[in-house]
Amino acid sequence: MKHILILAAALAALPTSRAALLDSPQKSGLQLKNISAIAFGKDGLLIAADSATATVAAIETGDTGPLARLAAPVSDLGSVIAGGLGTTSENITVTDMAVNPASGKIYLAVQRRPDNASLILIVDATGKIAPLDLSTAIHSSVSLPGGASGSKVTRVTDVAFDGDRIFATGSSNEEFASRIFTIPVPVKHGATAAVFSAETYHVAHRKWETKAPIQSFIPYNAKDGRYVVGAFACTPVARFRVDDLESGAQVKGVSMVELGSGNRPLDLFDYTDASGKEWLVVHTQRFKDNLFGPSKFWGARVSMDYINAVEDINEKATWRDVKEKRGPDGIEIVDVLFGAVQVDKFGEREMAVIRDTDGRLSLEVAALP
Amino acid sequence: MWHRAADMRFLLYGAPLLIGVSALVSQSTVGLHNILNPQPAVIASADGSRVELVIPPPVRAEYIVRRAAGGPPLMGRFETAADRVIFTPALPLPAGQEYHFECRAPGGPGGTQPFRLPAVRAPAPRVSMRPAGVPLPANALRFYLHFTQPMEQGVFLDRLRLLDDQEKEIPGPFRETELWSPDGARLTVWFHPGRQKTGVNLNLDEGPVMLPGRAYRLVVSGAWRSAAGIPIGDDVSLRWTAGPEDHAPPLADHVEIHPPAASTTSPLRVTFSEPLDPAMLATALQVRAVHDDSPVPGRAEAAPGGMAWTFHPHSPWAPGGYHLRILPELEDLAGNSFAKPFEVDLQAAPSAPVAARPLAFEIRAAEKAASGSPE
Repeated sequence: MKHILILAAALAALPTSRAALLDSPQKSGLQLKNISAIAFGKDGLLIAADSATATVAAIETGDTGPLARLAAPVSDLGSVIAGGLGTTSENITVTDMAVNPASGKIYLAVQRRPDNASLILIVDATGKIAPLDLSTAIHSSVSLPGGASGSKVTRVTDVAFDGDRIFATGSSNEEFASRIFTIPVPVKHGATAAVFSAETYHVAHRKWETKAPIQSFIPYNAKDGRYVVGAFACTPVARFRVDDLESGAQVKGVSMVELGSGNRPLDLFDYTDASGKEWLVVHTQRFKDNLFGPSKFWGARVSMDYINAVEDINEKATWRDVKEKRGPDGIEIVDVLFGAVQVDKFGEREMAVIRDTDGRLSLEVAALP
Repeated sequence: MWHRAADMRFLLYGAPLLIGVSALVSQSTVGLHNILNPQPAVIASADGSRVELVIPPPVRAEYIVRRAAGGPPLMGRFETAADRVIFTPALPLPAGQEYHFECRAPGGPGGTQPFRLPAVRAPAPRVSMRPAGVPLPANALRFYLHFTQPMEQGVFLDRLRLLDDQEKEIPGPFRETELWSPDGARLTVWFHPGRQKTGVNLNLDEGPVMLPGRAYRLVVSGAWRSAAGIPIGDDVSLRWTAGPEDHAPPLADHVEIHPPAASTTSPLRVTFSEPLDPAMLATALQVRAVHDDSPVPGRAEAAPGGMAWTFHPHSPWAPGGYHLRILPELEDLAGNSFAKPFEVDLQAAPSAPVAARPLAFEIRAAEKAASGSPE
């Protein structure tokens, strides 16, 4: 009975909350040609980045629950997807994955080769896979502006929703720089995103400062302000304070943690464990073979104490030794992430994992440490 | 309305094909009365985004389209009209394959109608590299691969191998982020920044990708397909030599302007003392008339090696003063821009920002054309 009451209250609240998420939404005409990143907001709001058009679409999926967990792993995910798209598994790439926290359904951004056609698939609790129909999707699309030289964003590397706004990071195919964009909520159809930061930097050995594109990120509310916690292509985890910045501002990220030489971060998310301790999960691909696991794909959890450090860290950032299985304190390898090619948080205690085992993809929900 | 769109579609059944189809139908409907008899036509749009089974839809029938007999159902949605069933696949059906359109009444009779989408006929894609014909600095950041058609994405790291002059393959030479032009025909290939940046972890652990004075060969796999599914064919080798590392910004003082004569549409030619990024170069320079600061309409192109920029005016040059504006973000091949070096030495004394200044030049009568100089 309690559940029924909660559900009824949630449904009653939907019209108001949904109305607040989109401004001047469209009811048809959404086309996504190259979906490079997806994420979820509240009330089933799906954020999808289209790198082909340098746009971000906010989509009302109507998928607002009830919450259900994937009952059993989906084995040979690639073959199942490929079969439904008229091809074979070697022609399928899952470019991103996002769990809808409202329903537990797992959304996959998929690209088919060689025609590069792109779509979003939904995996429900029974493991059934179906496409998201964009033809009648209620949505607002926002453009990401180009750089000073006229260069356009040609790769949107990540998107996220922090309750008040949407963040996106993008790279140009000409300048070695990434940009952080913000889109206010409600998302106004046809608007242009603000450029939050034109450049980010990476400092090495207190000497060389160079541009460094962000690979993935999460919005993070710390006690002293709001941040974006991002991972560079060259491995450090850095934070960027995002309070009080105006469009066009340039900020320098502060390096907090270094996961060791030759690691390329792919996904980030934060969670709180059973004891109440906050962690940042960093899902990573190694440049070379991994000394402590069966795959170049691996992950670690990092104590949020590192991210919350008061002083600017940079060259004092804690380094993990890639030749040591353990340490330093507060940085731990998460064994279940070996072989993971896509990861996203599933509730507060679990995560959805797409694993590549000898070229065969599988989808499961695994416990967080 | 779909009948009028027949020029965009293929009628997939002719008499010769029907013979083979009949055999397939009989195999896939063993034990069932075939409700698709006589065999209806299947009409598919040229791009595979819509398939029509021309048959009055049976009441409460179920429909499935498969890639082959016994294969999984294709994702998509079905609609029925008075005389046909329309299938809109989640993604356009790949060309050159056979499909089966199944129609079955629940618990009742069913039938299967095979159809085939014709294969794509297109030339094999070709590839070239920019910059071309110049050495790359050993700490180069990127180069571009130009294809004659949009290419298959998501595979570039598997399709490119970099060999040194001992024919030894260099492991992990490129950044994993895949950056295509909007038309899908130009790929920006970044050397791995962790190896190219001074003092960054991979640079220390693995060393830089290239060493000065050495020769390199990029092998582009012949298996790489165009987006239409046509492979390149034979492997393609693209070669260059590595020059000294370049840590200095390009200087406006070293830009040479070669003005054409007035009253002609001869191109303005601008040359540089080092190769600049050929992709950025195409749009990073602008010619303006001094008297009203208006841009001169015309067409610009960058030389393949990035050593020159040519501007073709739409109208004959008027005599007078002009400015050449260079965007400060314009970079050389190692990422040093006119505004700042790629790598800033924080321990060195801070230097004044190097701003790109407009360069003045004059268009004169034929025999008096003059070169430009910084203002």
